[in-house]
Amino acid sequence: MADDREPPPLFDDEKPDKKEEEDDLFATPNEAPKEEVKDEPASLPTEPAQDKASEDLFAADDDLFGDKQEGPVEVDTSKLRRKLTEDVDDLSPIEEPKPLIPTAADSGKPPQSDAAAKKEPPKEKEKAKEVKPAYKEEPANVSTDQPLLKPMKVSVDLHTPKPAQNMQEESAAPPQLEVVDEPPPEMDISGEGEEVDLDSPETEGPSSPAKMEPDSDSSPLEAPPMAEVLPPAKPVTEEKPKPTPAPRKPSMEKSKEEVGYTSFAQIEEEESGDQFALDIKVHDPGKIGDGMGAYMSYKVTTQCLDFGEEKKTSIPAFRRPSMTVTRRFSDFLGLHEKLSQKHVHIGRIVPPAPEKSVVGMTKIKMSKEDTSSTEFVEKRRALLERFLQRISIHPVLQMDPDFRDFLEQDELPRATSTSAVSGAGVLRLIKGVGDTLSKVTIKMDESDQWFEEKQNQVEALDQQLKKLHASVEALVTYRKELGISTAAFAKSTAMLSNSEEHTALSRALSQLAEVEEKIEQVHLEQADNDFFLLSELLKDYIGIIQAIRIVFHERVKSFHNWQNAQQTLAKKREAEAKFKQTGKTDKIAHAQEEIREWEGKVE
Amino acid sequence: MDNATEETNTNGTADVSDSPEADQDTPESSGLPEPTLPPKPFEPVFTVKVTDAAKDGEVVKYTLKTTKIKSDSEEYKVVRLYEDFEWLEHCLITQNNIGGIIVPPLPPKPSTTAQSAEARSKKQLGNKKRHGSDDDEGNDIKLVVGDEFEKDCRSLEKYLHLVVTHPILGQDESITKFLTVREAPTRAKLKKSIFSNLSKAVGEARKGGHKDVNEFFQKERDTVNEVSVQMKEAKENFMKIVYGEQRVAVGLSHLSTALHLGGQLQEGADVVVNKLFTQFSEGLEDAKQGLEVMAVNDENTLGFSLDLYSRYLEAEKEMLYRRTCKMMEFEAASKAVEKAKPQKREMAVAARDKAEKEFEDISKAAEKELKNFHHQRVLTFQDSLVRHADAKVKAARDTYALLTKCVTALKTLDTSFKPL
Repeated sequence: MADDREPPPLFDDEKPDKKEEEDDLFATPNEAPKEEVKDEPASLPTEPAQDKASEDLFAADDDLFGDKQEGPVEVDTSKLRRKLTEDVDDLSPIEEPKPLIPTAADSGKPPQSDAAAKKEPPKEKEKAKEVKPAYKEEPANVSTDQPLLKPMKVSVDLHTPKPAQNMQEESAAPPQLEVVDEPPPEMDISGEGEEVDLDSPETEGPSSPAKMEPDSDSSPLEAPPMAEVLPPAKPVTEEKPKPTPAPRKPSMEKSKEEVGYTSFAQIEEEESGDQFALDIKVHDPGKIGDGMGAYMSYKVTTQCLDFGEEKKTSIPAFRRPSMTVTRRFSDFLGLHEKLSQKHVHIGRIVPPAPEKSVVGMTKIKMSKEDTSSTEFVEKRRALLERFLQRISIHPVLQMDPDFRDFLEQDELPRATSTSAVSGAGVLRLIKGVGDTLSKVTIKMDESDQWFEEKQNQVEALDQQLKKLHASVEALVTYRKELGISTAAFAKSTAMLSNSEEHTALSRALSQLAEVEEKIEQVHLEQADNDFFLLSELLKDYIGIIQAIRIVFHERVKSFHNWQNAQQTLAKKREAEAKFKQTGKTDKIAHAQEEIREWEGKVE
Repeated sequence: MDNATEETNTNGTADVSDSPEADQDTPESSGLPEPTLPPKPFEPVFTVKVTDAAKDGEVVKYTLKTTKIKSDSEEYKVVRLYEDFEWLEHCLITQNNIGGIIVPPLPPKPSTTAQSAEARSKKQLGNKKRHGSDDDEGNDIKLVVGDEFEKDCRSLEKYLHLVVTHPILGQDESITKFLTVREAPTRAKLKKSIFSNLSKAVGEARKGGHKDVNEFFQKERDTVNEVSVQMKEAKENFMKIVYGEQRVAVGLSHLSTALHLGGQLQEGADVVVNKLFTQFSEGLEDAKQGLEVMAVNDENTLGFSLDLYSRYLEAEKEMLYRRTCKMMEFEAASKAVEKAKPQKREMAVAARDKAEKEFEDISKAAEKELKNFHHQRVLTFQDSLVRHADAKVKAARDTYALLTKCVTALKTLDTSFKPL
């Protein structure tokens, strides 16, 4: 067992917690392989001779392998890298069978199969990936240095009505949000009017990760990546709406000002009075009905949480603190439709809804219970959850009565306009075509530098994300294949061991089979992680960018309309002047009416 | 003779009078088909190394380095083609009584043509066209795996080793000539017609099911049939794993490049994102290297053994088949004796005795060979399994170390930046 102590010295300069993890990984060697390999020398005394022979065969190999295993090696990244590359050509000759066997035994235990180890890489990866998207959203996470804190912090802060400048025109502007265009430092908290200082979000920090933890423990492994990725995802929608809800010319300058708020530290200083967040979970996908009329229903559970007191409070807008309703997919699409109609044309970004997938749904309708359909359901569930959570943290959309209805009401009127084949669907197609055409034809002189920049950025980002997404998808596929091959190999090894007469070898082979099975598990898990953490994330952002594009387009359209209106107004004015000259007074009145009308439109 | 072969195994450091036990060739000491010859030292005993493989046009030339064990100074370097190896095998088979011997299997011909290289690449890397905007990464067929002769070198080396250490085959003149003479031995064209293979297969099918007199052999035949199939399957699956690993490594590297190249934007959030991406891509590179190392190691250890033994088992099957043939001859001869009329009776008896003797000889040789073979097989497998595990663990540990470093770097990455 002395050899068990070898691995830890390898990682001396790592953090202590890492060391613990290390010990976790390597502390509990499998006894079986140890015995296995130890049996060999006892039963086959000719082994050293044979090994020498094999040493001849592979004498071209480096001694590196043997050396490195014995002594503690500093973890030097470049050195390790060199080690790796050197290993490519060699195999160590087994110079001393005896010492190697205990180490072989100790290493015979597959490190990854440890339950703790299994948790570790996904968790680490979770954290790593979570850190990544969290940091992607610029202002969010500057002040503290605990990654887990930041997402939650952001969600608190982003309830401040910063983008509320343009909501003067919005009748839907909820009363709590400050419909004021003030410079950021003065952004005051309305609503509950609590002045929460900088400390409380920080104290919130530990509690919110704590909140997150129970989630991750209870729900399946995919859910925690979703849940934890989501808070960082929230800032995206927040960030983007800030710049873009200002397509209206009058408020463009103001919006820039708003957007130009200098650092999030300032934002954090004024704490939102809207201390609530909606914790929405979509779960329990169930198949309702049969045949072609079947659909998937999801339970939507909403909990209103008050960050200040960490308990469920009731928000005046919502009837109850916590509720659960059952919704089907077309309901979600209907919600998206309604929100889009109401908000997109004034420049709000509505989070994208998952697409309708005929193939997936048909599979489910045909009640095929295979892995692809469960995967599909899982993907969809996660997408829906993120969709709802994004809406809920958007300060404007959150207060939307439709949204509230969606969350509260037990029965929603059937949203027929979202079905795949219908009159409304055809209408939408036509509208889509028109939109595409107008995208091509309308050329807007981008007078606003900021918007142009942003547009370019968004485009570039989109490109990049698409590339990354493709790569990640490929990677996931490869990993899954690897998992499958490993499984096949495990099976054939097991068969070999069955037909093997030599008992020790047979046992060794069956051990190998078991190990390979575990490795397969690891591979599959890794593939899943990759998928849910990276691939879905990327797809998400690509979707958001699409939504951004739509809003940009709306802006272009409105500019176009405005130009048209101006032109028509000018024409009308000219006509009026002409009439005045020619003295046709009756037409003057008519013209003046039109002028007024167009003036109104211009504004 | 077994002392001499012992010598070989212990790299020439032992002398002739080495301990008779602790070697797989011990069983050879008795019962060899030439009992009259006293075991004499196995004089030109060689260690062979295939040091290099160079592709000359379409032909691959192998450089062999041979050392005589007794006198270390004598070294021979010769260049051989694959056809020379085939010729050597042919000589060995035809010039020796290989009745009971399991002939070491010659590795398959290396693929040298462009088409075969492409086919191999397809097999290894998969011909999935990746959906994506980048076409250069999309079509993996374009990535042709470079000619890998390393593996062939190893296989040939192992083959020569097996031949040289074989007590009977190792003494053959052809081996000496093959290893020491500079020019390649003149060879006759070896015609492997389809018909011979076909008739062989038919014969095997017909006689293969013939029940054996000896239970030991019967059992052996059954087992070997079963095991060889499984071994082949295991080998196939194992190679699939290795290819899968390689493919994942390629995928990782693509992702890493994409991350690296992606960041063109220099503002605000994106600087941080770029930093993160760069760090992440480094981590991916490490992971990829780890995987590649693993793949190569896997292939060299367990893959190699599986491959070798799946071929070796075929050879064993052939040997057993030969024996079965002899057995049937013997049985036929016995029957003939019974049926023979008196004039022919003597001839029949003689024929039968001859057949019987041959059969007995084969059986004895076969028994020894089989024991030896199994023993060797078990040892080889143990060896390669241990190496496989060791290599895998080591690669995994190294990768783990690198990745944890990367994770730490990612976590502590400074994410402050100036927003727009």
